[in-house]
Amino acid sequence: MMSSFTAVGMGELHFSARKNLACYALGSCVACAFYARHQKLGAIAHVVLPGPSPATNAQPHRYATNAVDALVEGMQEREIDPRECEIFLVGGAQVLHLAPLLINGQHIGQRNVQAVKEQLHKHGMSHYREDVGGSEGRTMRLDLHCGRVSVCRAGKEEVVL
Amino acid sequence: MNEFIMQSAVDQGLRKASGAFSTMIGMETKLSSQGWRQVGLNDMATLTGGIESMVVAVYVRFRGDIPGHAIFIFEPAVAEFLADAILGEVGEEHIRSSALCELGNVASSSILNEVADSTELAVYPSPPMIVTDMAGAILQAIAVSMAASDRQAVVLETTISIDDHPYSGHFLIVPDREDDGIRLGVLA
Repeated sequence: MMSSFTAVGMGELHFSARKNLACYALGSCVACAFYARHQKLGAIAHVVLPGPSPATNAQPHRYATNAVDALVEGMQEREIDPRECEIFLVGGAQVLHLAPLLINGQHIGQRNVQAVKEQLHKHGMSHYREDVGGSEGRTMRLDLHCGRVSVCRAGKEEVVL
Repeated sequence: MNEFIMQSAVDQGLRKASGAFSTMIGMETKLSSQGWRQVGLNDMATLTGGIESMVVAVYVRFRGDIPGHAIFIFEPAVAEFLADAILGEVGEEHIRSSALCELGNVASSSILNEVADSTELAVYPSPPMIVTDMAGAILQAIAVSMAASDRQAVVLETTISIDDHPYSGHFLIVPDREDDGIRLGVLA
């Protein structure tokens, strides 16, 4: 069955109760998805950089800390306990070995994954399914109807997370 | 910078690369282009068949007066044909990869060196790397490394003609500073 997906671009955050969500061709970026099974509501943040956003930034959801906070708050605004959501992390690869992508010797993908996890822990959330790291790009799809999260690595078959 | 100076530098670079390709491949080979145009990095992936499409990319970082990124992008089937042309239908995967990497490197450095010579600006290319992945993931790495979500790039649609068989590729230059591209007359 064909189903359509709304693309969540770099630095964006989408909540959806109707349309399926996807993050295409994640490299060092990390897709952090929350899924509330009873309400069939999902959200994905497409995190680009670790750390909190500088105050002047027009796109605060590019940053791990702000993105996770916004996911948590967005669920609470919809009267959903975020700790009851299923959480998925995908991405954080090192596709190109570029010097500007290193922070204190760690590549930016690793740092993104770490930063998202740290912020989740601060909110008391330590259970998540993940497919992170490595050197290949990935696409993540979240099917809202059944809560199925699939990951497709570059040139490989899709797998269910 | 006069656009004609850039055009003749690019043409000269393509000619030099053609000479080097002919030597590598051992057959009359020509690298040509219809000229350049400006494309946003985010739209670049649509030229290669979508952000999830697999591509083979030879990447060169260059530093100096006009720092930036140069990438030669091929469809995987074209990459296979080119590797066959250089090596014959043999060779282990890593040898085929490094032959292709050298081909992309020769093209990039021929064009960059001509641009540097005609503008009297210093351009220092770093060693090339080759990667096969989703077009979007590769271009994303470049955008993230510049702390930008989108950037304007200069694209040359290229054709490599080997023994009259044309193989197409995209040659992409992304200056670190958009001002440099404007100054050189390649970005608006």
